[in-house]
Amino acid sequence: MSRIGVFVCHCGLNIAKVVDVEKVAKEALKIPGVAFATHYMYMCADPGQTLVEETIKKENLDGVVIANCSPTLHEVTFRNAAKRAGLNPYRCEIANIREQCSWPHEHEGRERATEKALKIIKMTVNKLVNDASLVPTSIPVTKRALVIGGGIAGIQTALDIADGGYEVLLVEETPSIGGKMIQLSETFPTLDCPQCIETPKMVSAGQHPKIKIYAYSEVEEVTGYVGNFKVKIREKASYIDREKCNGCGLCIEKCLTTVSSEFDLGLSRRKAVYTPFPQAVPNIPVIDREHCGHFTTGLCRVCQSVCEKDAIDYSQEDRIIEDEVGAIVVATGFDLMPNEKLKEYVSDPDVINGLQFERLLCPSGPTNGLPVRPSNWTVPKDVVFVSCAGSRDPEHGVAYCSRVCCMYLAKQAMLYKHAVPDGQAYIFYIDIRSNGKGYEEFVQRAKEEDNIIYIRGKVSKISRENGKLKIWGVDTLTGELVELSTDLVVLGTAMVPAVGSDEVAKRLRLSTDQFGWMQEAHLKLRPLETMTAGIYIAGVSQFPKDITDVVSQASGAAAKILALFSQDYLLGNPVVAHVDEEICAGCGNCESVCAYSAVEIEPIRNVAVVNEALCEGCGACAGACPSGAMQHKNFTKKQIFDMVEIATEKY
Amino acid sequence: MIEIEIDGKKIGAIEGETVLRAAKRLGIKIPTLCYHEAVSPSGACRLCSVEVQEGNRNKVVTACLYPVRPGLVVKTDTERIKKLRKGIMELLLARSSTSETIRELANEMGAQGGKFLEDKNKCILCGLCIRVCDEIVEAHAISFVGRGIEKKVATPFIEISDACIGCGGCAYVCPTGAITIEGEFIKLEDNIFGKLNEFRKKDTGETMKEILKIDSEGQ
Repeated sequence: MSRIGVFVCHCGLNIAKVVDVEKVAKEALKIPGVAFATHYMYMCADPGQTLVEETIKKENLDGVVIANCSPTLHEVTFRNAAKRAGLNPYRCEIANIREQCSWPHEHEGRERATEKALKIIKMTVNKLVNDASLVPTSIPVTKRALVIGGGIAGIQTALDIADGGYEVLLVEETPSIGGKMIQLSETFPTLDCPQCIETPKMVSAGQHPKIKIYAYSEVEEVTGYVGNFKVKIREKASYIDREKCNGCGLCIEKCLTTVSSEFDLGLSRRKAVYTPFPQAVPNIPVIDREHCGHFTTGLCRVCQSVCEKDAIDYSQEDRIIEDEVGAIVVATGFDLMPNEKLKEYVSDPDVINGLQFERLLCPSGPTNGLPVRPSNWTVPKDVVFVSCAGSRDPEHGVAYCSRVCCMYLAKQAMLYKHAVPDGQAYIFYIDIRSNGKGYEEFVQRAKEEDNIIYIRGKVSKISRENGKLKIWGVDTLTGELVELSTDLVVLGTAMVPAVGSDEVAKRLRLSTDQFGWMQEAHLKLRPLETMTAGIYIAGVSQFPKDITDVVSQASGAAAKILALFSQDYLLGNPVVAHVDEEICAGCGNCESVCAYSAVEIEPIRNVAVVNEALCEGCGACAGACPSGAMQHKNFTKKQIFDMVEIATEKY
Repeated sequence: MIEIEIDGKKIGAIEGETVLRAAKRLGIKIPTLCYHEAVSPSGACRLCSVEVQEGNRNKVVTACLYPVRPGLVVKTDTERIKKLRKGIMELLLARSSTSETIRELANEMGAQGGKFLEDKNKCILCGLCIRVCDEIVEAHAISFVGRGIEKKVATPFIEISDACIGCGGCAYVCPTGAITIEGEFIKLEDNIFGKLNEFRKKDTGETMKEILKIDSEGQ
């Protein structure tokens, strides 16, 4: 006969107000197998845990049922308490009488709620009688990390992990790391330029002995599980031998083909063989096959002929690199919502987005920092900045606030005024959101020192009239309609998940939210983790945030990984599926229902085999097994039917 | 930054740059044949001719060579310019009636053949290939040779050149498709300039001079 102890928690009044805990404890003693039962105000408090520990020893218990809140909250707490008292932690079960009894049945009377609580405890005791003492499986950890995305988030994460002594594979889709930040002119609120503050980090990442950068590459496939991921990286053909090239730039200088530059968002031209910007890391050019004269006409071989290192290889093909990593960080960043989505705003070369204006203001940009109108390259006498262009606008764009536009528009207006002192800048806004260190003071400076005119209201329409752009809006503070003519309009366009991040999510089997941002495990308490163990998120891939927050989050994700890598073995959950090979006929039902690819039919013996490291313990295979060969440990067929029988007993 | 006017539109331009560069940046169309943004302009084809106004004087200049000055007024599409370009195209068409590019351009500008004696040179002697070879590749393998109607683009002594590094840049930039790549050779009609880069590379242990000897013996 078992010696089981039942501990009923009051949870203050959360349970005790609805359930007669005293009666429950008294009645629980009558359940076969129960040797001890009591109740206590807060079981999860230290004295409550001590009570469990001491009773286990004193009463020589071989199992405990804690009747309290949901097991997602305190199962670990009490399993640890049981373990401290010398019990196998899997001989501790939680009977949830709060979320499943006292909370939903508050208005149905104390008596009935008490009966149901007792029933839940009875079910749990019956399950516990047949619970096995399980031992966690141990999984080895590959101490190497993969970082997807080489923006400031990916760079920071990679540097922190590498400084911790572990290898990092940093995969970037474009020819250079640096991301969106390196395109900016100056950064709020300190006005330091990314070319000065980000490049040292890029160089450190490029030269770090523990970081291997795969630029112009994509993650093709990810399989496996925490500590043991297998990844395939596709290094796209750049037609330049990355080993031979010394980055001298002669091919770029001599290239005869020029095309519109993506880095300058169409505001300047680059060669067909190029690095996106002068400080590129790695400083190895790539050939743009779509435009290169060799590939379009077959005539040109100038770069190959002048290259002193013989590094140009027109026959190069994509290369697949296979490696093993223990943890993955997704840092895929953002793109701006296309202006075309805002139908009331005319599609015009002088209606540009914030990133384009950053390039125009950038001292190393296409105009050396002089803001011009893209339509005719003259200096605008006035500029209208439109906040919330697509943000906070569920009809045309997205419902959320993009969080950085208020600040960067203030900064851009300020920089415009510094470049064109006699120009006028207007900012249309709904609310000014300046909630960061030094942010509010920065906005006040823009208003007071640089005389930027803030108009509270939305711009309803922008059109082209008599060579100028006409703005229709409303000043909601005075209630008057506002009509303005201006040379240039800068839209603070909504940030949306980076193009292609949905594909990354799919390959990693990660879920995204309704807008496509990577889904965190818990918004407040686990913002850096995904629902898949071993995969973390950093930067804007999770949601819009400024550089300060991106860097903090990136370091946070690195800290999580360093903690993971500090262990040689991980303990796996032993509550997983198990096959009785004597019974299994190898029908494969289990294999086909498994969402985690954890079950396979072994071809020689023709029986199902469970990979315990991959198994998430969902029980789908056990349900699908026609012969009962597949059983879920501690949720066996007998245990479940016993519980169902009690649950369906009449009161 | 200075302001100029092209076809009635005020535009910004960088002091010292040419009218053609300022216009191209903003997508204002001016036809060209001998212009290439990678090399210095030469004004050989005259097709980019535009009318400029300075003070009370109107004059026709080549946009590819004429520098912008503050207040410069440029007209790219006047009757005078249209007529001039048509005339240029008629002459080019007479010289290179076999070139597809020339025929298309002539068609666009309303130029028809028949006025002048027709010739079948694809090369219009714009010299773009020579400028690329000199300025970009710095091989100096080709230049103009001969005078008057004998003038042509060729290697010294019209022999296959060992200065040519076989980059094919000349063929790539040639606006009329006169320079071609046939097998391992870069050619302008019957004249072989040199051997293509990849074939030169395979000739290890064998100097270019030896290849030249074999070729000349073969002839």
